[in-house]
Amino acid sequence: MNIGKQFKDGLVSQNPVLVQLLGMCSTMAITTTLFNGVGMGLSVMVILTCSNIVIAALRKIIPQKIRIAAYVVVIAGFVTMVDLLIQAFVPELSKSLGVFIPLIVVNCIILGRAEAFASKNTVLASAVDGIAQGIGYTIVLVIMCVIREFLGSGTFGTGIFGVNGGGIRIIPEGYPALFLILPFGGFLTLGCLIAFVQWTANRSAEKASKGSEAAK
Amino acid sequence: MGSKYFAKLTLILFLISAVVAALLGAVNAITENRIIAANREKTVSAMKVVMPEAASFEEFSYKGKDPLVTEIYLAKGKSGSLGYVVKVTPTGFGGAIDMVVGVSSAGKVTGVSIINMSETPGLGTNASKDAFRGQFVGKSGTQAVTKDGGKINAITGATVTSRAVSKGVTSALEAVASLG
Amino acid sequence: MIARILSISLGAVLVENFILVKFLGICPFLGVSKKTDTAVGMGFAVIFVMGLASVFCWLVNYLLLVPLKLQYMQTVAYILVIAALVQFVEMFLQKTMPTLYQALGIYLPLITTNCAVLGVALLNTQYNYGLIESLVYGVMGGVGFTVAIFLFASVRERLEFADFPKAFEGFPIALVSAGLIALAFMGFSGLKIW
Repeated sequence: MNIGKQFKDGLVSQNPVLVQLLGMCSTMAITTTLFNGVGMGLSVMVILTCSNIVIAALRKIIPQKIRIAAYVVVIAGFVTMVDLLIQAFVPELSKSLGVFIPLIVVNCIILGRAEAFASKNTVLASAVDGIAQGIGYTIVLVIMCVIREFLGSGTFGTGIFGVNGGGIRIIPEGYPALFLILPFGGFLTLGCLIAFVQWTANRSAEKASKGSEAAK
Repeated sequence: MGSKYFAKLTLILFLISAVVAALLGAVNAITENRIIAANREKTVSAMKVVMPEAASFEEFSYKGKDPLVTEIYLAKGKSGSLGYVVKVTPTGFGGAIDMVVGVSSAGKVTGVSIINMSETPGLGTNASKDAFRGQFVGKSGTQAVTKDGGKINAITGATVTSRAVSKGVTSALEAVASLG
Repeated sequence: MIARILSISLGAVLVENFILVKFLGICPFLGVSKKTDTAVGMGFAVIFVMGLASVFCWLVNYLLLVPLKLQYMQTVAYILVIAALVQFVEMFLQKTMPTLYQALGIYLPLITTNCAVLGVALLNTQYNYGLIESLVYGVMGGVGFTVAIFLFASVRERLEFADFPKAFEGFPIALVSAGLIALAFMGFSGLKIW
């Protein structure tokens, strides 16, 4: 087990959104304010870690044939718990994320990690995997939120900073490019973000190949 | 691979589901009252916004058929009834909008306040701004946005939300009128 | 009633399209849209399952969960209903309509984790739709999904001949084109007939 590598995988080389391309729906739908992004990211991280732990612990008991059904029940259970807790303690978040909290059940990241990692690894490694992948997911959400909120509504940190959680205004009202917080902005921002990741990957690959040629 | 195998599969799945259900029951028992209390608190503070002079709100039974109207409260001031506060839930762009409308004894809107909504931030959420909500104060009868021939100026880029709020106000006024 | 059904249908297909406006069902939308015919196949499978899921989840909710005051179990119950439904539909088609099974079969397992299906069940409950309204919303939501995935697949087939920066190859350019279709669908947002 290598915790450092697991974190590097979750954050960069195997980032759930940017590299594995999982969990697209929520990534584009709710990233309109920083509050939503942080809330969603943390919820997914908690659920992912818990379900990874339970599934890893039960991996020898659950028969192969019914494993997906069993995973889904475990995941749905954790999602409902988190949903109820959010409703009770952070009602604003529950309202602004709406149907996307229960929909974490079908977020491919969670079932994907259960199938690809937790069902084959120890409890401890699965817990670390859940945290690392969860942080990777949260970071992407936060980046998306900051870009879309800044360009689309001209504010930073709505729901967290500023007077009455109104956010810190950077661009005066009336000037921001509204379309960025609309569905189109979600597709565009994520597209550009993944393109940026591919661009850096291409560049380092080119450098590496040039380096090896030079060495010859 | 006989019936015994399938019985085992069923049993394991059943056990997992039973454990999950029991845990959920426990979490629900802890959170249920808090959720109700949190909602209640938000409703009361919104009611105070639309009827600032009211000292207390008494729940009033509503027997009308309008599905948008969820609750009606009688607003009581120091010298008797001031009017009603109606809780309505019209459907906006991102789901139900929970809002309260204050209606004076004369059947005019005293204020509109939004409790919860899942509208697009920066567009639909502007419905909670005074510039939009204030337009309803003093109005009576059917409310509609200018696009539909009414007098309410819709929020830029959020016609759906503006329509929903107008519909909610109309329903609240009708509900109070039906009380007589 | 007919006006209501028409307005729900119009909303589900165009104004509040499940993929392009509500962001539900993005995974299959991006995953199986490389060719028009597979996209349409997936679309029909989704219409079928979304219609059935709407009806069955409605029944489970109002005949089982509400009388027992177990609404907090909704998410768990719905996902189980959907998983069982997909499995059942798969077995049923395999036995009775092998040709249809061959056409839709490979898409069915993917549908369990399609958030449009769970989404439509949850939204039906949130909007307090009755049985018929739920069915209409489910089927028409599926039609909206099919329309969007068909348009997107047609665009994507042409992308092969398009010239764009290398960094955008694959997913990014697909996302940007999907965004442009979403922008076009924004035009429907004020649409109201009734």
